[in-house]
Amino acid sequence: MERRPDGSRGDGALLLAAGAAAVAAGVAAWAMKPKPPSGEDSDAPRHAWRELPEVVGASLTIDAPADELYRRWRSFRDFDAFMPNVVEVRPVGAHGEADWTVKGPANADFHFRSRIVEDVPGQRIAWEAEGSPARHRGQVEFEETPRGTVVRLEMDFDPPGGAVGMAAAKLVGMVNANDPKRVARQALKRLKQLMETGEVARATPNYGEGATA
Amino acid sequence: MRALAWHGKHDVRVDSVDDPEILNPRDAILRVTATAICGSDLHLYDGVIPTMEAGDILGHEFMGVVEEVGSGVGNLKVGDRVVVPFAIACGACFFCKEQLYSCCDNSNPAANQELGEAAFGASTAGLFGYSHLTGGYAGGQAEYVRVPFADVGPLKVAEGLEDLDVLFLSDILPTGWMAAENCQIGPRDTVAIWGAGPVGLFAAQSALLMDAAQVIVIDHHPGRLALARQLGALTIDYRAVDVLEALSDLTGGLGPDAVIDAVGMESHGLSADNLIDRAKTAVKLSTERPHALRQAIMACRKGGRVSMPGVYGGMADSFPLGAVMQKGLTIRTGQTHVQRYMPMLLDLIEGGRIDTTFLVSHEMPLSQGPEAYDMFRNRQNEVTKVVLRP
Repeated sequence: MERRPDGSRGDGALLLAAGAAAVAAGVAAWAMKPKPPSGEDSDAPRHAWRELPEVVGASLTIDAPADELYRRWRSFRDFDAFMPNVVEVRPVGAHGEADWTVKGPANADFHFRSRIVEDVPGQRIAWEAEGSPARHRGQVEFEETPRGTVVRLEMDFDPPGGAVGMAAAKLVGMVNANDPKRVARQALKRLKQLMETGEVARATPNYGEGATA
Repeated sequence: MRALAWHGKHDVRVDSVDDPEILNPRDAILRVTATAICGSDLHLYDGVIPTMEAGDILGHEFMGVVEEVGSGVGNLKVGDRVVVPFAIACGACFFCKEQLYSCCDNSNPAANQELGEAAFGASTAGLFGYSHLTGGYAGGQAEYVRVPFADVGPLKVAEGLEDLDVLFLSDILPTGWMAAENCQIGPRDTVAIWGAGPVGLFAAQSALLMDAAQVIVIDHHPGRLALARQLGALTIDYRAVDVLEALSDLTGGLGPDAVIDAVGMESHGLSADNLIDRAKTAVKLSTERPHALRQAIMACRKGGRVSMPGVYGGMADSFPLGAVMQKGLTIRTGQTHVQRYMPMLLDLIEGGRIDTTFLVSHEMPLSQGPEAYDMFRNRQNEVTKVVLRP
């Protein structure tokens, strides 16, 4: 850098500008990076937290009593009515275990066993599913409100995992989806249709497979 | 059976397809006796509505005779003549209970709802014959059609009425009525309506029945403007006069109290650009150029009402949001909640206060459907509304 006639160096302004730009870039990067919610947005469900992409979930209000929804879910009966990729669910033993057969990619079935780890009648069911590749933790909660029962479903595909977790999520949600959140959302929507109208809406004999990419 | 099927841009064919079947207990199967082509069908015809697939059966304005009912339909029997709303409503969800039937939560299949959620933030009701975003339901420009939730939508029609007296209860008459109702018309009000197609004409008719002091219809097709005058409206040909100046004069400088955009998205306004940044599916919507809506907003008086029955599907280019905010306008819009208005409108028809037949310019057999689409698209001055008979 040349010295100016008054003896100062011209690079001072440049350095200042470069420094400011670096700070600004750092601030921008920090602002975009996913972080845990702070106090005021800790009301958001975990499946909405940006830093937890492996947690998926959905909530819907269904016009049916919480007890009825709890019993339908807990009985494992007719899951294929609202989860089209489920081929069969077989309760096993007396402690809330169940063997699942699910349609995967290329129409190949895969299996896993789930185990109930928490069971509050009318309110909450939490489970674990062992056996790669579909291992996950899940919970469903039922809360009665003046507009109906809010059903909150959450599934955590990374206990622990990362890339494996995301792969598991995609596997469980593979039919008709490449977005694992769709599994949760669509399952609840079909359950809502079933409970409120007695039917699952369809335009074709299959589950409305008219959706195109 | 024979059905009009979409096969691409400007390519509608009479296909031979399987008859529809009962799939759910609350379904009914209808033998279609009359069905019409809608202005919004032309967007499908022009190939600008995404999520259409070759072979999709068209048609959302139809009526017919019940051929078969599912085990869950208690109010209809074989032989009943019914008119069917274009949007399918379950009758039980939050929105149906609020009478927002076109917002039904439960009639669009769950997998298809992803598309509407990506495009609009929420999915709306299933529609007949209007792309897979609305459920991929086969439409009624066919010999037979499957009607879901048949215990909710279809309206029974008495024997003394002709098909053409009641067919438009399926869509465009309630659409015109709701458009006028959304203007919140008071006795001294002037309502200005852009578009003298069937919806604009029914909106004008409805606004006059609602005792608007003055109804002004704006278009350029002389044949359609003549129909508007027949109803009792004043007319403006926008190619001949400056619309804003004319409206200002006709309202003593105030501007219309309420304006109706019965034009909607221009058919060439949608192209393959994807502007929905959240969509992971390829819902290809792009900017629409709402010329009529823009002019209507500019014309509307301060504090006035903007009623938008015209269909839009994507993002709008150069929308005068500043005019809306600064003049304090109210915008009321939505896909028509047909079920809400049908019984009342049927009463008005039976009582002779509404005639809908003036609108029908052509009646043709279903087998001439492709020609009918072409005529409706390209000869809008002579062709106001085409009714097809299967």
